[in-house]
Amino acid sequence: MSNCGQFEDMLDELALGVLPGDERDGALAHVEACPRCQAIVDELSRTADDLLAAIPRAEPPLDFCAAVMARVRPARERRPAQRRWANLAAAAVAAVLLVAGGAAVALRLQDQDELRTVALVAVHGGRVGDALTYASPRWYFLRVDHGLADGAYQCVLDDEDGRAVPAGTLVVSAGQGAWGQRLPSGPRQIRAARLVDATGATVASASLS
Amino acid sequence: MEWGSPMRRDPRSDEALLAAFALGDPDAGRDFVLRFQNRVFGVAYGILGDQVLAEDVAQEAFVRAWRHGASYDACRSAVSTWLLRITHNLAVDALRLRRPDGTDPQLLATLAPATDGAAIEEAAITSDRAGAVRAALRQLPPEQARALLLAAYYDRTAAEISRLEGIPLGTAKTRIRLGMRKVRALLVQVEEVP
Repeated sequence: MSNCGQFEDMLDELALGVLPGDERDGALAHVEACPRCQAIVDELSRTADDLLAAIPRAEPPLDFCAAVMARVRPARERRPAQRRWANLAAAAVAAVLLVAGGAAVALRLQDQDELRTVALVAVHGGRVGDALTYASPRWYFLRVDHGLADGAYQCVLDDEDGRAVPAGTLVVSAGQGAWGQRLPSGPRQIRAARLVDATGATVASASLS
Repeated sequence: MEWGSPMRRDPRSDEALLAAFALGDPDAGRDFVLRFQNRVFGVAYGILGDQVLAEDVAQEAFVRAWRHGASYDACRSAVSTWLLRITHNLAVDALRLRRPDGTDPQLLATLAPATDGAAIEEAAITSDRAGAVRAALRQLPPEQARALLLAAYYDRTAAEISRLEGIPLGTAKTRIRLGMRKVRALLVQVEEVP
């Protein structure tokens, strides 16, 4: 390919997985069509893997293996007390809330299984964050971690009747932002959450149905 | 350590062990966890710097390996690489939710202090690749090593590193690139040692 020069400075960040979405899409398209740059990215990806493997080993607690094996038993055999990861996810939701509004909101989740996470995907492709939902009481969270320009975005929830319900504002600053909102329980299901920019264009969405 | 069979080592390959674990073989599962737990927990703890949170993340990494083991593709990466990548992604997600600045200076200080250049040759002689990587990191200028590790371990973009370090975006990009290329070049030297 003749335009390697345009992308060669991006290949290291691409291999490390830290190239922002807009640049990443272009770089990926080039690399897929360019065997020379593909070979460089393959080499750099191995270096990225080497860096990860260079983190010193550490010994986990003595009961670590047993704890893992307890979690991989069939679900019907599991005891609720062993689901610590779900507790962490719940803590994560509370953290999202705090980031979202700056308000101290304590959310007590009664059933961790009702917590669900799906990818928030840019309209041009590529994940830009996550959408988290909690069933009862009904909460919706959107979190952007990269790939969207700084600014304010309207959060819109699309219900099953095709209605677009404006639900709040998510501010992206330094590439990151979060929003969370409790909504009244109702018969209508939300099938998608979207982020809409100042021009009214949808920039990212998450399918919740 | 797994009680009851502390000395037994499963002779199966990593790939075979993972496949059996994913199919629900509990013996294979225990051996798989014991084989990789120090590496997995090391990555989780190294990134998070918190014993309890690292244990949660490391456990979840093995649960994901069990759940998605059937889709593991040996042509794309080694089992250890695949598993450490899962662990890394989980740790970074957990860290971002816990600490918005998302970095643990302790790991950076551990892996990238200035040192002499003899360590990489020593690592080459002993075939210790992880040691060679650590030695290569120590040969980088500290600001390059820091930028590289912020990207490699904490998923920080160049723009984020620019803000964290108070440097222009172009400088952050250059530090990542130069650091990466130099580590790569030093590892190639190691590979060429007969």
